[in-house]
Amino acid sequence: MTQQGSRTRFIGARALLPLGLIIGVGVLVLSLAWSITLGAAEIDLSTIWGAVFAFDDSSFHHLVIRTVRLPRVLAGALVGGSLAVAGAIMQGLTRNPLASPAILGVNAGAAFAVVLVVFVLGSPPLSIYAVAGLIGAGVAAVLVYALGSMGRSGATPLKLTLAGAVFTAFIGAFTTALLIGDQETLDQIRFWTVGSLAGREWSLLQQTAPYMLVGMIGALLLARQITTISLGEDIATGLGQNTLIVKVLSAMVVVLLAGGAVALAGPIGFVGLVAPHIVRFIVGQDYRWILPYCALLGGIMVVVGDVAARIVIRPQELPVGIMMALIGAPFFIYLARWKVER
Amino acid sequence: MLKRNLIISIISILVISIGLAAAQDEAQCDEGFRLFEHAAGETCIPENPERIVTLTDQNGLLPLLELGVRPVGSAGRLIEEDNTTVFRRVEGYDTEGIVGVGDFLAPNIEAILELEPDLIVGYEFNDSEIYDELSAIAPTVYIQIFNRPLDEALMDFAELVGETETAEELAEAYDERVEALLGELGDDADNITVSVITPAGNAGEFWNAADGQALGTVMDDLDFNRPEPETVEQEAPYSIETLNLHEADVMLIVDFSGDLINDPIVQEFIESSLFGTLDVAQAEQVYVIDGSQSVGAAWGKMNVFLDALEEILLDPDLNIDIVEEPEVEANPEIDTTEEADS
Repeated sequence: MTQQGSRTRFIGARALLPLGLIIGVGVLVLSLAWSITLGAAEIDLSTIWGAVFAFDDSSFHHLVIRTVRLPRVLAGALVGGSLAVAGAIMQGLTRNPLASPAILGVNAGAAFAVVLVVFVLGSPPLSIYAVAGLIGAGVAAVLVYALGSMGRSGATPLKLTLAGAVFTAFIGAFTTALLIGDQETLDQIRFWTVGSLAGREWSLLQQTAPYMLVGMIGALLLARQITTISLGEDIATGLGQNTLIVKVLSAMVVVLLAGGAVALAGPIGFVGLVAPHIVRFIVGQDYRWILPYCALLGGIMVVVGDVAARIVIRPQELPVGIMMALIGAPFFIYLARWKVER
Repeated sequence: MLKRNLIISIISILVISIGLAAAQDEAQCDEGFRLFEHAAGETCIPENPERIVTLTDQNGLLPLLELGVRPVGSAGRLIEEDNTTVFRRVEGYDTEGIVGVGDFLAPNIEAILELEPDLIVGYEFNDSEIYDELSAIAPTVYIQIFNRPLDEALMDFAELVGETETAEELAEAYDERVEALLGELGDDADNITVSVITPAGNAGEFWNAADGQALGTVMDDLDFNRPEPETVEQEAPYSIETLNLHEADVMLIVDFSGDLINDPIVQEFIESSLFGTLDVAQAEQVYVIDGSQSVGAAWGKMNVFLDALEEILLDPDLNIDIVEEPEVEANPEIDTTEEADS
């Protein structure tokens, strides 16, 4: 382990790390439960319990819990976890603390692809959403990497971040043009420019979840390799790693995670950026711990953020993407200052 | 000399002031004009307008056509591709030769000027900014359409163009039909609860489809019981979680798409398992009606809705005991049921 790792890790003893995961799961479950109690209808706790464990399909409130609230809440956890893991991988791979699916244009590419597909096809089958998201994410990743690699010094963190920002702005303009230009598209996916969990139903969750879950598994399998590569290109090569394969596989995992997340809930930012930083503070530099912690923390962040988004301007709802920006941006500024001082 | 001049000056000033004050107390219109009060103030309009331009189609052109008056031009829905103006909701009327003056959201002032109108008619959602520009071309009047019974607005149109007799005939015919329907229902009219809703573009939300306008005015005139949330003016979409609060004997799902069979949003709404738990759905007394035929400011639009209601409510097999209505007191003047907001 590097000196850096042991100095900055919050959980000193490695033995405590699994405990942290269990606590994380507990917190996630609690936030899911809290989120399920919120909604326009007044539903008491016993009814909620009944809906989950003693389902009566003729009960209106049971159906509200199962078909309206539960998919939304689970979507939040899955999307948050996926984006956080994707962000962690990107930060490890590019050795750039500012890397995230949002900043490096992956979210924007996925969102554009979904909006384009709806614009062209009207009401496409839900399976298309996920595929579009994946393709958009993949193309964006390739383009941003290519853009950031131009020039002699290759893909430095600064150049990559700039390339991502440029791409996001550019593609975002097209997305907005499509949304403005077609009234119907606007009605259907109005909130997709910022990310929202409203109205997320089982059907879309079922279509997109497999990609994210496969991505998560892939991420965990690659964790050791990502740890190695995060130490530096030369170190990794010196240790015998085939960095190209690791990068390609990791990129595919990021595309699965971010593309799937955006296809489900639109481009939600700041989770992929902030969660890995917090997790690295807690667990250190070993990605075999960073990634599962990110999955949990990302899920918690989005679920709690969605709760806040549904409370602040009751009875109206804020899109969760806006809430994440409100919470995440100041946090990121704080992080950036803290990092720089060190 | 000086003293005499001074006295003459003072008396002149007094006379002129009194004259001016008197003149301002009564805004007199020129010969051939009369004063007309409307949503944007008071305007001197020609007593016999011959070249009318309307600033919107379904709430301006339509009511005038119904009264037998043909404007020379009207705004409507602008088709960008070939720069033509389409007049909505005026099926059955001959609009040949009526010049399109652009989109109702942004009428083309030059086109209006070219038509040399002697009266311009808009409604309260036309820009107050262009009111002055339009007033420079011709007397401009904004009739209030929303937030009041539609028949009142239609009477204003009639008064504007001197067709009050025609309007009164139309009003009488409409009133007779309302009375006839209530008469045929007899006592049942007090025991029937009707819900009139429409799904929103966003999943998980829906609207009161009879909150004002043609549909709302008809429902208010018939004064059937309505589910509690539908008795107050709606400010934000209803959440689908509150669908059970709209339980009724008869539920009308209004489809505004004009594509009754295929509209995916309506189909998804009524096929959802949540909708299926409603008593009214299980009693199979949910009807999808074509709302596109009842949009617009005209007696005819209200009559189309009456047609649909007659067909549904006068069915001898109709079960009106799905919902228990509150007891009506012996004195019909005292209304113990929910107050309908008009």
